[in-house]
Amino acid sequence: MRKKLGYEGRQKLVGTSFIAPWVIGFLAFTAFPLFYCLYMSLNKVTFMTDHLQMEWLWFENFRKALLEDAEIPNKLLQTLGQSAIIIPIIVVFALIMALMLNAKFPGRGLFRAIFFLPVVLTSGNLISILTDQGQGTISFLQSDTAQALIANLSGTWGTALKTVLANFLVILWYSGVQMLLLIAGMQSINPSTFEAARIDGAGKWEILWTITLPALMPFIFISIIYTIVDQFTTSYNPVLEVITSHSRSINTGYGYASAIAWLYFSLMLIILGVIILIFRKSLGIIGSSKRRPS
Amino acid sequence: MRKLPFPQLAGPFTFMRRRLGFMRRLPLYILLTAFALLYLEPVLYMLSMAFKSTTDITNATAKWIPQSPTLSNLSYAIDTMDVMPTFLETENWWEGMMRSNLFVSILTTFPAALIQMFTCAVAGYAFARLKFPLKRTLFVCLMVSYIIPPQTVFIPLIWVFRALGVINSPLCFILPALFGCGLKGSLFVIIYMQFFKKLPEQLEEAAYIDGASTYKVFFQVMYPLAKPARITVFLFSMVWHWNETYLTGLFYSKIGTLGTALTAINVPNGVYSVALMAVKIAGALIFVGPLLIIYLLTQRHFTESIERTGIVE
Repeated sequence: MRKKLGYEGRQKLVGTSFIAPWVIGFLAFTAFPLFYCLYMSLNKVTFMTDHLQMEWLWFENFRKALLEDAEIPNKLLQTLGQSAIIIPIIVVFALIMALMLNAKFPGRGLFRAIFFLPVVLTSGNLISILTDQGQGTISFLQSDTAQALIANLSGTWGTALKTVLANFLVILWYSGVQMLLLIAGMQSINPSTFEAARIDGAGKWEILWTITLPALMPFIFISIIYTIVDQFTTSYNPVLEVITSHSRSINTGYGYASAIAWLYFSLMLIILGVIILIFRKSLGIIGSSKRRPS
Repeated sequence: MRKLPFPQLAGPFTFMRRRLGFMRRLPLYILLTAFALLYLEPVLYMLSMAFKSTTDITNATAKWIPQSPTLSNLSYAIDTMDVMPTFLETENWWEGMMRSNLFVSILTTFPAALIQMFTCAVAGYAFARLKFPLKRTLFVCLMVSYIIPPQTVFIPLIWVFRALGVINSPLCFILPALFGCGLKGSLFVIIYMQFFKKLPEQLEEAAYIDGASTYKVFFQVMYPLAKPARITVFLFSMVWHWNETYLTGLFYSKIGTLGTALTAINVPNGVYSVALMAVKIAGALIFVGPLLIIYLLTQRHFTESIERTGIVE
């Protein structure tokens, strides 16, 4: 391969020509806005007729957002709490549905078509209309007996359950892509593994816990990452609404909005980091088994 | 399996076995049907509400099937949402077309999706197979750009587009797409990267031995081979561009899409709110209608898409 000295160099040149457009796009449409946003977050930004006036504030915007403005830490914690409930439920729900839809039975195509429908329909726009119409919750929950039962629930778990039931549509509708991911994962498991287990006398539950789930770990991980990004970037997120409203307000302006945006982004990075740490072990095992030649 | 001595007896036996299989799967079917109904309820609700007249809305007996169905909600929604183009004599044809929110939606969706289908493949191929400086750093950049909420960067992004003179036009989505970026562009690059990584390297080696250049290998071997990934990327890009209302609302102030027009329908509290809600839901139906039709026609590609592309490895 390395007969000529210039071979490696030429290969790199060709590779660079392939990646160059993306790098230009990344710099212009992602990196520049991101760093400009960081720069603005350290300033007080005022609109002048022909230019923007920046007043260097150091971390004043961040301090104000975290310590003085009660709304921001509140909203951030609210987002954190909501995602702590919603994200595991979406993933577990997607996992259960994927297990069912992966079984072979007549009519599977029809059910799959119905369950993946939200992939097309999930726009924040539509969801807010349907939630406004009381379509966000399951209709039998609106009956009197169900209401009485729910009203009896109290404590942390009761509140959590209430949130989940009230947002059931969101859970159903935001789990389409994850279901696709997990089904694909299940189909990547070698069928002979199941056969060997069955011959050894393993029951269905044993197979699920000892073979399917461990083999699915990387896919569950990807589903969690996808869910986090999806939930954190959806336009109807409370914090994002605050950011948008602050960016339009005269008193606070872009600088303050940018500071909140960066706080929000850091929160998201922390959550992603925690997830990666939790899954490092199980992913490591899978990773090493994958490196074996097949 | 032992062969049956009388093949003609196999009929009733397999039938019984099938019956037994069905009985065993009954809980699965009940569960799936229950969930399917939960999924379909909002869609059916939209379908029924959109055709309800004012008397039907308040009539409890006509909960699902309108007794006096009407098209007035739909036609009113078509008017309010500016679905159709309006032409003024003082303007040219293009300006009239741009006043149609449906036309703007289509212009925002399809060119960008088609372009992303190609440009993201180029970047994905580079990440999967080619060598270039700073590859690891750029890969981290790819991951970061995937997780950035667009809401955190939209303000400078608006200035970028204003400076480039593309604000208030679908070019806001087409231009980043040309560079393999744009709406969820990094996710599409990752999808292509995973797909190309899975293809056997012998394919390219054979082409290289025949003296083909990297460009030729990509355009004549690898890109045509990536058809399943291309279908996935195109379909998802189309759906996500169509459903995007936040960014379109920010980039378009003089024009609108069906999504922004739907958000703009304001339903105040009061006597007329019920009737207006039916109009809004009819509008929602117009908004998702094209996607629903495309989904019905291509649903096989959606349900099998990720399985084939190997996004998950």
